[in-house]
Amino acid sequence: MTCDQLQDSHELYALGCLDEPEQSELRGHLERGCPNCMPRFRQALQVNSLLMASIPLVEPPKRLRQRILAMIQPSRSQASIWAWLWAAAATALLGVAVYTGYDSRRQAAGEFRQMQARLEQVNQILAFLNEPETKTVTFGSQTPVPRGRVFLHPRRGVILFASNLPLAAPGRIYEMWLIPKAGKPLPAGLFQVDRNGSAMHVLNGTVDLSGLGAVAVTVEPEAGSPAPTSTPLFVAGVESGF
Amino acid sequence: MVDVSGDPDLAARLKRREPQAMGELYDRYGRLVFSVIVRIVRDEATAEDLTQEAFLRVWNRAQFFDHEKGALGPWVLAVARNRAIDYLRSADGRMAQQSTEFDPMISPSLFANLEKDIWNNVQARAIREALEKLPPNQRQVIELAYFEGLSQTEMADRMNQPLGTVKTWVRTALKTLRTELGEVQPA
Repeated sequence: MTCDQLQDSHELYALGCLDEPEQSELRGHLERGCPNCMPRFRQALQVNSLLMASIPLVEPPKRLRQRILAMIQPSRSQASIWAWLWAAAATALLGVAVYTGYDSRRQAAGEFRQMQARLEQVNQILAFLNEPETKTVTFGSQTPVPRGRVFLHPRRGVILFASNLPLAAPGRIYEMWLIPKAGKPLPAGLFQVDRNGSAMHVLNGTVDLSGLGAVAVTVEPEAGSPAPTSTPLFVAGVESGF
Repeated sequence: MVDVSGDPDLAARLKRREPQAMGELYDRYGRLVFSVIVRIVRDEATAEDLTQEAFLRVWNRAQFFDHEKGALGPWVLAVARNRAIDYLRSADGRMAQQSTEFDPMISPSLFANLEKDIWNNVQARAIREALEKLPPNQRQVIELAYFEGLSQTEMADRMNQPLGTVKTWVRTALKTLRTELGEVQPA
């Protein structure tokens, strides 16, 4: 298509709502730096900006500024989570590197798969944490009681980081619960803690954040339980507004 | 109107990942961004979340912004609008249309060499007045494009009009609005 045939398409192209084939055609012109289309496109950006800037203004809630600043300034506990993740990734990578230096006939294939799975899990968690839609809630305090963070994403699921958890007794296991605002707690996976009392648990899948009231953890029989059978070790309330 | 005189310095500080620059960016554009998103999604609670996400995207992409050439405000506004439109499309089940998440159309480099004082001149008022004077059908297609992200095909379905008619309305409306800025002459 010629430049003149596309001259009325620039604004819609810049808005991302131009039909085909005009969209592909105009993209081609712009990618080539077409001397006719480039200035028209810049004017389209200007028209679009002015139109959007001309609407009546609505005052945002005062908390919004703090929310935005908080998301780019991780707290110390979040920084330590990142440190933990990087350490885990480095350990997994080192394990992979060391493994590949061994005679593969000597190294158990299962150990290698475990390291790969660990690395994949860390990669998954990093991607999860980087998502702009991921929300966080904290629980606990600075005293040595169970504490940690829960990361919630409407389409990716839940990640729980916890510390100061006692080792579960033999035959017992930790179970996470999603507690809706109305209704019974929903089982959200089983996990164990390491010898330092720390745990990381991932639940993949969609989460109804608007209907979620809290995230909790109990200790259950090692096969898990369809409903909580013990008092929660902690409950992290999910604030409304998700 | 927004005072954009400090935008190049602010953009440079964002590139250096200075957290205080983010506060200033919000102070400068937060109300406008929130207003545009409210206009699109029609819900202030949702708009609050989407505004946060939009600013996070700006923060993550500021490193690609040419602070010497680019117009920061229009780029921020484009990021915000596209986030809101993506939300509308996912809510309406229109995500078959490609998400604008990584759309090159909102690449910071595209906003290089835009008029820096774009919002400080009388053209902003002129465009608003021109929009208000458009015939109802032309104003509707403009609003469907800018605040609902509909293509002309989708507009035709929504308005139950032939595609050619909708295209004529869009073309005429945009020509009127461009005239307020002065038509650009081809090379």
